[in-house]
Amino acid sequence: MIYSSELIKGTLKTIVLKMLEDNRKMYGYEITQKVKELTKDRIQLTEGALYPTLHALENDGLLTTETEYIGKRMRKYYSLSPSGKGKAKERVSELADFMETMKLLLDIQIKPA
Amino acid sequence: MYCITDKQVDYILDDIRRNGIEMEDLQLNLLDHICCIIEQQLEEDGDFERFYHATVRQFYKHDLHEIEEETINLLTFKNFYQMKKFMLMSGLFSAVTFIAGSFFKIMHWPGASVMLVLAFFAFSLLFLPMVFVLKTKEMNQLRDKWILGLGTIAGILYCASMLFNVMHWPGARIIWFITLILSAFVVLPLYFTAGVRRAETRVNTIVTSVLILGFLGVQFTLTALRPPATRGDIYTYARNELLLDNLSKQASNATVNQLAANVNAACNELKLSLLKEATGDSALRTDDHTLAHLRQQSLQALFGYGNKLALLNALKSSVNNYNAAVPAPVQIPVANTILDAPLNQMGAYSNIDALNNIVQVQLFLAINRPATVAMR
Repeated sequence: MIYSSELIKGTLKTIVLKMLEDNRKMYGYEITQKVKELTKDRIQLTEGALYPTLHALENDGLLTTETEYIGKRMRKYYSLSPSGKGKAKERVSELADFMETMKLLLDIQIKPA
Repeated sequence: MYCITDKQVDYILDDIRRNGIEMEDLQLNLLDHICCIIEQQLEEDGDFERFYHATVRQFYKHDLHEIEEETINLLTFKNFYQMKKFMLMSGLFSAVTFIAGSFFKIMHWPGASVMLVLAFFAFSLLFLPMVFVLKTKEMNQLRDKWILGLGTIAGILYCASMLFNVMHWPGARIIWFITLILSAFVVLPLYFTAGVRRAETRVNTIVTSVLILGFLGVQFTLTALRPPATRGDIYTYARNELLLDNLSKQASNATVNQLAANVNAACNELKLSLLKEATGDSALRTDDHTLAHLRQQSLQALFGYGNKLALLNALKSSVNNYNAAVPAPVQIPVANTILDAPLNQMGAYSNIDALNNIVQVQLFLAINRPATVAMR
């Protein structure tokens, strides 16, 4: 099962922050592969969503970057800035809380039947 | 694993650029990403170009440029939302201040000018530029941005001309004519031709253009044709002048009273100043042609600038001096004239009323001391 893009969109920032929290520094392609691997192919981040999000997070000061030459091309590594580390924890616990609430909400709507 | 050559890297980068990715950061990220995919998934003897295009095709729905648009959206969204809020606040503030300022102005309450100036600045320097910035963000065509930009300038100029007009600052008419020419001959034709070509905006464009044209026409009529003075008032004034002329010619040999001469001179000076303001001519004329061009103006405004207030005060003090020197029956009556009214009620008098008041003072002197007005 592959989740709808609406669901991914709302959680993409959290996913990226969590990946970087666990792996110190990563580049874009690496993040997509890692997420794919961890979710057994169930979440496949699209390039059209991932890169805009990475740029926005960098712009907000949550990520720091370093570049490395791979032959002729450049690879941009992302890692969490100090404020990004705090934000990652905050977003993960917020999402966990949200999932609890959703469970409660959806259970209530489903069970009475 | 496929091995990408430098030439192929250049090929990919060129293609990304050609497809509308302009941010360098994003170019490099996408380039590396595509290279990774190709290296991981393409067979060593695979078809590079075909595989590349198939890969990139999965990145977007309609075209590659979407990724850059989405990035820009995410980067500016926060700002955008705050700006929109600020735009609405500044618009609301200027509208309320403008209405309040106008009301204060017609009531002659203090603070009206401050409010009007404030409303003008909020509207033309905050609200209009922000409408421009926020609206152009949603526009794709350069032509539309230009039209909106010129329209914004015309709007700012329009506000400025109205402000200058209300505040009686010099240059109001020039600014107004520039506004008219800019909007009627530049902005409107551009707006109309651009909008009427697109089927989805055709009706809206025609209706809006007609509304703007009508508005400009009404405003032009209002400013080009100033309200003429009431004929009756003007003729009363002209008759008074003739009467004065006749009386002056019957000059007797009576001793010239210096005080009366002072009053008469002060009368002439203020009269000339008022006439010059209304007709542009500094000579005292009561012919039909001059009268037809006499514009009725409120004294409130006229005493606001120039030396008219000083002339009025000079006249008042010379009348006071005269009245103090002569017995009650021959004192100059000032009740219900501009010589009697407090300054903040000058709005109730027009320049024609003032001219009539002054010439009546001179008539009074001519009857009582013909010699003092004989020098006309």
